Amino acid sequence: MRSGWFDTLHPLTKLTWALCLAVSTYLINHPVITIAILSVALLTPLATMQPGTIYRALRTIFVPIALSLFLIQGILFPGDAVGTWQLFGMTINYGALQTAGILLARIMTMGSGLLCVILTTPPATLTHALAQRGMPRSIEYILLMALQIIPDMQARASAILEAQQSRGLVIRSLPSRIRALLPLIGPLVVGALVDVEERAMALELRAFAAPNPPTRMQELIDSRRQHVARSGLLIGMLIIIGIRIWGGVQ
Amino acid sequence: MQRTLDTLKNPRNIILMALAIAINIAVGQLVTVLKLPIYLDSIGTVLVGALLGPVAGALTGTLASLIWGLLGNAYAAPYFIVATVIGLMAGFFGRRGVFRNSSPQWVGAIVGGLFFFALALFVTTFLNIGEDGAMPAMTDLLTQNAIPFAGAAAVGIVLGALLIKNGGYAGLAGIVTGIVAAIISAPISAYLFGGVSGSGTDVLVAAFMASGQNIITSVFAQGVVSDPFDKMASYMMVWAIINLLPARIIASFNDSDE
Repeated sequence: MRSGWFDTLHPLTKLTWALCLAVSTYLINHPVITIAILSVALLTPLATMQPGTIYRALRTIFVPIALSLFLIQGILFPGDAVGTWQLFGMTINYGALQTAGILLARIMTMGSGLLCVILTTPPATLTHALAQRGMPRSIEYILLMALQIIPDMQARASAILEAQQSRGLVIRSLPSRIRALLPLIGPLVVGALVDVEERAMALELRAFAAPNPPTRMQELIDSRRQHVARSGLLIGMLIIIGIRIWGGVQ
Repeated sequence: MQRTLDTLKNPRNIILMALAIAINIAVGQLVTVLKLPIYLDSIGTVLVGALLGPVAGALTGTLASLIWGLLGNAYAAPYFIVATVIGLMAGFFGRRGVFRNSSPQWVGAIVGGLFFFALALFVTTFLNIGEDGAMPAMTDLLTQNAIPFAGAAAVGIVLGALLIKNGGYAGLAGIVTGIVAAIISAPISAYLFGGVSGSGTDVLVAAFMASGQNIITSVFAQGVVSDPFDKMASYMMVWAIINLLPARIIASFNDSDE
């Protein structure tokens, strides 16, 4: 498999792949199949340009979840004493631990698929692909503008925090931290509301309300093969859902 | 559908929604810096609901969850339905005037007292559910724990009078929204993630599990204990901000469906 092969796929093909992984792992109740799907999901990053980044992101998200799952499902599960063993003074329930393992496999499968899509697709490309399939242009605009404005808003939040602290705002004890909320959040929200006017004018000046479709800087590349693959994955997903609902298979 | 399209035609609404999503994330970060045990990451969604109505609120909630997903937090995306309902409810409450009207201070005190009393009752009931799932008798619970319940109500009244002040209506609406959010998010959390989030609230789930409950009940109990506080704080913050703003700015954001 060529490195970076996944990156070049059409965004909807990647999205369908991630969705298919998530649906199949949650709907098929068989440990061996769950592990097989997890293996496929964990191999997917290798087909991208940046497998290291994706694996690191997976690790950051899933280590705390794995620890919590072990605690909540493995140790505190209210089961009987059958199939338990002692470890460092804790009673561990084997059946519950197995459930925790399956759950973690499912969470990781879903996460790996989604991270592969998110980290290999620029947001503008993803929203462009969705807009081509009928998503309103205003929703595309909201998503892109929000993504662009988040770093700006975070910087503004830090600036407000520093400004208020320089005016004597104390954030030490819990009551003082609660009292600090309004002086910090107030200016952030009010500033944003005041900004709306200016940004709306800029948008109107750029013919946002024009009925014609906008000209795109970049065209998305799709292929017949990908179209067939997407259709196949969607049909596969529908079959799994159908079997789960009507087939009586657990 | 037509209402949705109308809301989306106005550039001001579109910009406010985008800014609200960024506010959700920036405020979420500020709260982390302040090390407070709440999230406040739906404050922008509530603001849009309050100013532009339920449709815009719901849409902002949905898109905010998508943005969390696009930012690499794959864990947040399945909760989009909770964010949508929060925006929707904020919109309906906004139309009832909860964000624009101030309540007398005693309403805030009563809301605080009732909330703490209900919370104490809920937790005590939950911890006393029998092995066979039988609910404990309310009268027994109340008589056996009369002093703790009275104490909880008294603390609630004092906190309500001091913190909720004149935002009693917004506080109450936030509590209701928090309970609904807990009800909706419990099955998602239990089924998709086994009840864990990898955050501090897992300790509460663990505590309820240790009392012998199953996972979905424990996740729901955790949600009922933590979500109303969070949503109450978000609603009151929005109420305070709307009441601080000049009328000219508020008037420029009219809920077109009203």
